[in-house]
Amino acid sequence: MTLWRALSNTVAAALRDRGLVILFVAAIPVYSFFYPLPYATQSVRDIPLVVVDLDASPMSRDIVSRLSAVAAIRNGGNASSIDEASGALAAGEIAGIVVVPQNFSRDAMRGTPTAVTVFGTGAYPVQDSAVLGSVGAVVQSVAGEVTGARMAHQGAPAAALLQSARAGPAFIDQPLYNLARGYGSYVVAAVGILIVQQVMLMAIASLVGTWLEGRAGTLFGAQTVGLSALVGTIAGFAFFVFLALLYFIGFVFWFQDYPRGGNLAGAVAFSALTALTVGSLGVALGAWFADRERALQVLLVTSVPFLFMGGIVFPREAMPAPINALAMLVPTTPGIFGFVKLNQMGATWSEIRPEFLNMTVLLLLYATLAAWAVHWRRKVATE
Amino acid sequence: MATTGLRAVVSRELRYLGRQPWDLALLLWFPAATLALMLWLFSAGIPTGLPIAVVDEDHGSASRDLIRRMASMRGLAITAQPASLEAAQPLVRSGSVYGIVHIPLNWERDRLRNAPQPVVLYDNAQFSLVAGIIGGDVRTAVTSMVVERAVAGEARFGGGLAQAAVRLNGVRADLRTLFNPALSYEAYLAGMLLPVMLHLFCVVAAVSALGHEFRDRSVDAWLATAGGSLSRALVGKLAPVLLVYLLFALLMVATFAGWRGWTPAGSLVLWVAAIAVLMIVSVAVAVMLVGITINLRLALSLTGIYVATGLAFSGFSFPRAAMGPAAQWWGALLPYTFYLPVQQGQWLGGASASAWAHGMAPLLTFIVVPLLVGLPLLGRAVRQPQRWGGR
Repeated sequence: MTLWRALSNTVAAALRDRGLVILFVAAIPVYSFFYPLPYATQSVRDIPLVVVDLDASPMSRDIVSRLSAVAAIRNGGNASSIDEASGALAAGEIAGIVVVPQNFSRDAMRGTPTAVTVFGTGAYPVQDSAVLGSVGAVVQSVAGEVTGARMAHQGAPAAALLQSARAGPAFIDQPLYNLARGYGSYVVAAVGILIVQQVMLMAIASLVGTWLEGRAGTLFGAQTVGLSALVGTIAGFAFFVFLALLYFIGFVFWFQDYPRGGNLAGAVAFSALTALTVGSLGVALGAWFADRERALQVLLVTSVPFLFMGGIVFPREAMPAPINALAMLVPTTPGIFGFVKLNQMGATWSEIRPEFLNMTVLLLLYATLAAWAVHWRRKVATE
Repeated sequence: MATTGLRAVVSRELRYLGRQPWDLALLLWFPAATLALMLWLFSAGIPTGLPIAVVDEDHGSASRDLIRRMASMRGLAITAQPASLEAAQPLVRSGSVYGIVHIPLNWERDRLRNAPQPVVLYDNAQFSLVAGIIGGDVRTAVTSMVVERAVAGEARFGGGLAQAAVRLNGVRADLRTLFNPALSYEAYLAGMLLPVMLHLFCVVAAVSALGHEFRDRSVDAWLATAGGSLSRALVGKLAPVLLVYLLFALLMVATFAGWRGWTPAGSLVLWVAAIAVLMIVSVAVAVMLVGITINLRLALSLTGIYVATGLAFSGFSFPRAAMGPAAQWWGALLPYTFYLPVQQGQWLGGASASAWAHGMAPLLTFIVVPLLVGLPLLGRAVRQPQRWGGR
């Protein structure tokens, strides 16, 4: 069978299989709208906290009203004591408690040290940092004003006070690439690549398994299978993976307005390499599973481990070395890093060298495994 | 040995697993290995030594002091000191550092002139968790220096350093994290991921056990073993799966609460009861998915949409309160969304028994409703041989 013939037969077989055409063609667009849904709002907002105002002074009410102006948090009510609110915090119904102590306003004006206490919950770290960060900033701004007023009262020169009031911050934390620190921009850029790999591996391995069950297709039919038939089949499957990757980096990132297009030509080239790797792995897995449904059973449960092994959510520096080594066998590990660097960070081709090398080795490895697995299955069948 | 009845169905299941190494692996070895891998992955608990670059254009004793303070932070490792920001940027793009700290020219001189310039951290926000750790540590290092200097400056008005510190810090925000105060990512991520993975593994195993009978057109043999009773056939088929996953769930709780040493702040019994219910929910959901589809492949595909996405919609990281209405609505249809707060409450928070009961009520509906949907559909399908064998 010629390479071109194997390629077109593979594409036609994928489109003709009424069960699997959903995976080959429809699943990626569906997931691309469905999965980013929780992150569409991008930033943490409206998480509820409870205020315990034991001071009940104009200054404490000023703090409460400033808190209500912060988008990340929402005043979920007032309580007369910490005990009254602590049950809700323990159960996760609220994300924080703000306590303004008795005589807060008097102590602040006198210069007696006093503090607004903020309790967050480590059971939900994202909410914890949003609560502590936003309430801390509000208290700090009030504290600055109180100190200024007291110093003026004590006779500090107005010019010096004005200068310190106008002084810029001592520290600026400037995000790169994901300029709004969007949660979706960070998660979906990585998970999109994972979705493509997982859906496509399921589709390809299922179809190859079906061919093996029915002694059909370009790999397991009656005709002899040479190198050109194998390469053509992998290329035919890679065609679908390639389109899915282009759909994500070209349409989804634009439609959802995520950071994108940093190095478009590089991303297209890397898509082609990734597509061939995923296509080869799919053929190898399909020949190993030898069953139409097995790929779904096995791959459904691997998505979460693959994502976390990839090192973009939890850093590689914190993972045991053997897990990092194992992770390099999964195409999403160089894939997610490589695509985030190219699409979101605008890396040059030489700056994705480690990912390019990793992916190339995987392509050679899985193409060899695919060839071997197909050969082995055909030999077993004829014996 | 009885040829029909509950025990016969169970032994038929066990014989099937004995003949099918793949199904046995999916039921037992694969989840065991995956859970062990995830525990190992997060075993460091808190990421340390994250590489950053420092561009010091000031070259003074103060900037060197700041670099020393940053180098002593647990989360940071200064791995490069390029001469300029231009030279530092490729280091971020190639992934060798997660951020650049820029100390500007004349930083110390301008501070002494009372016109301070900021230290700027450029962090790679595509790595959200890492950026948060680096941002916190660099901020702590810079703030420690700024505060010391402010106190020293204030001290010239008299009363010594202690008095000056009191004057400057008259009003503070006292920020405290309760429950998991060290923010261990092992407790956070492993604690949230392991139960959802058990849930997913259990649904896949139950869907496979049930769905293969329709795929293999062996429904008649299966029902005959149960003496013709569908309920007995279902209980005998799903009991081994449920038992295995109840044991996995117990093992998970024992790992966290015993071996890793995070004693539950609430009730161990209530936590175990909650995760046991989640496993029963998983089996009920499997009955529903196979009942709707009568097709193993489609039931597994629906598992991918209904169960595998549960984590993202549950609010485990990005809070549910911050999601749009459509995402909140879909999240409310997923059992894991309701399990998660119950677990966090009993394990870390120390929530009350009434809060537990309040949280468990919706979780129990995920047993009742899927069975109400799934059982009649299965009951009809076992009498329609023409619908069997769908691939």
